[in-house]
Amino acid sequence: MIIWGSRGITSTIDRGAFHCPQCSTEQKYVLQQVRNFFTLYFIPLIPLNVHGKYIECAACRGSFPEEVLDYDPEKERQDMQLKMLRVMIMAALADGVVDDAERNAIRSQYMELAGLPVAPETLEKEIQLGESADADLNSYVGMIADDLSDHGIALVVKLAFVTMSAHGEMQPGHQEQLKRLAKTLKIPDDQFVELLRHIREAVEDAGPADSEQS
Amino acid sequence: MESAWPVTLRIAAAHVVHLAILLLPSLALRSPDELVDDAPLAAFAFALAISAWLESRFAVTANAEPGSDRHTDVAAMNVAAFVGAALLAGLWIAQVEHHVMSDRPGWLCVTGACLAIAGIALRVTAIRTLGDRFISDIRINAPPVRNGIYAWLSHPSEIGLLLIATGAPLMLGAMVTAGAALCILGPISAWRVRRENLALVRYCINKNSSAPFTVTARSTRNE
Repeated sequence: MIIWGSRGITSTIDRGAFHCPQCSTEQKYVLQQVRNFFTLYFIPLIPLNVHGKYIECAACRGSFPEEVLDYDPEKERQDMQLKMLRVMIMAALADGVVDDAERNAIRSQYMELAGLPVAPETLEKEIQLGESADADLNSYVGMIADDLSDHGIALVVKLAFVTMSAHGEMQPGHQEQLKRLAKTLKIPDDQFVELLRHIREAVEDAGPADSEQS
Repeated sequence: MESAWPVTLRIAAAHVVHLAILLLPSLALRSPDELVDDAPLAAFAFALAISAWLESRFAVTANAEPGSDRHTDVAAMNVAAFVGAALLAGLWIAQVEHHVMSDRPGWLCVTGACLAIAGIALRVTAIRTLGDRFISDIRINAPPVRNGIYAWLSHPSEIGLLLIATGAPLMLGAMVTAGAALCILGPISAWRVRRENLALVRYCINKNSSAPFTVTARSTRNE
C-alpha cells in the first residue's frame, strides 16, 4: 500500500554466540526483532506491536526461535545416549531378564555409540529402573519416538535387535516386542523387514569383532 | 464493541494526520480563509483522503513473520519506499505550483479528477481482488490470480498509482509536476512490472505450471 499501510521492520537488538542447529557448530548470531510500523506514503511513522523476535545465524542465515539459545548440544547428546541405553535395557528385558550376554551386548553397543564405556553402576542402576518400571520396550520407545530422526529410528531398531539376539536366537518375548516396534516407530512393514535384513547382515559381518570387544 | 471504538478513533486520528501531512505546503503558504475558498485544493484533498480511506478499509494489515524478511525482494521494497516518498513529494510540489502559478483552465482540473478517480478505482479493485496477497514486496508463493480485474488488465495497481500520481497534480492545475511525476514514476512502474513478471515466470517454472507466460504475465499478484 503506497498511501496508507503498515510494514514490518526488522532491527538487530542483540548479538552473541550460540550453537547453530543447522551448522552444528558454534556460530555468531544476531537477535532480530520485527516491529510493525504504521506507514504513510511508505514512510514508517508510528511504531505498532512487536510481531516477534528470532535468532539468525550469521553463517547459514537460518532463523530460529529464541529458545535456541538454551540449546546445549552436549546435554542433548547425553540425553540421547541415556535414551538409547534404556532402549537396549528394555529390549533385553523383553524376556524378563537381562543376562550376561545381553549385558555384554549393551556395553559393546554403548561403547560404539558414545565412544566411552558405560559405568557398571550406571548400567546396573538403569537395569533396576527398567525392571521396576511399569513399561516395556514398545511403550518406552513410543514415549521417545517423536524426538527421533530417521537415523535415530533406525538406531533404535538396530540396538534392540542386537541386544535381543545377543544369544544368537531370540526368545519369544523378544520376537513379539520386535514385531510391534515397526508399528510403534511407524515404519512400513516392508521397510522394517528390509531394515532388519540390513542390520542382520551388518551384525554377521561385524560378529567376531563385537564378541572380541565384549 | 468496547474495543472497536479506540481502533476507530485511532484510524480516524491517523487520517487527520495524513491530511495534515498532505496539506503541509498549503497550510504553510495560505491562510485558512484562502484554503476554504480553494475549490481545486479541496477536491484534491478529498480525492486523496478517499484514496487513503479506501486503502485503510480494504487493505489487509501487513504482519511480517519473523524471518520472512530473508525472502523479501530488497530492491523492490527500496523502490517502493522511493515511490512512496516521491509521490508525497510530488503532491507537495503540486500544491506549491498551484499556489505560485496563475490560474489553469478548468478542463485540466476535471481531467485530473477523472484520472485520479480512475486510479483510485483501479487500486481499490486490485486490493479487493488480491486480499492479503496485495503486498508491496515482490514475493510470489502462490499461483497467479486470474479472476476479477486481473482477467482484463495487467498490473491494475501500478496503472492506478500512475493515474493518481498524474491526476492529483492536474486537479490543482500543476502540469509541470504531473509531467515530472509521469516521467519519474513511469519507468519505475515499468521496472516493477518487468520484475514481477519475471518472478511469476520463475514461480510457474519451479512449480511446473502449465500456465503459459501470456496468461501469467496478465495475472500479477503484487502491487
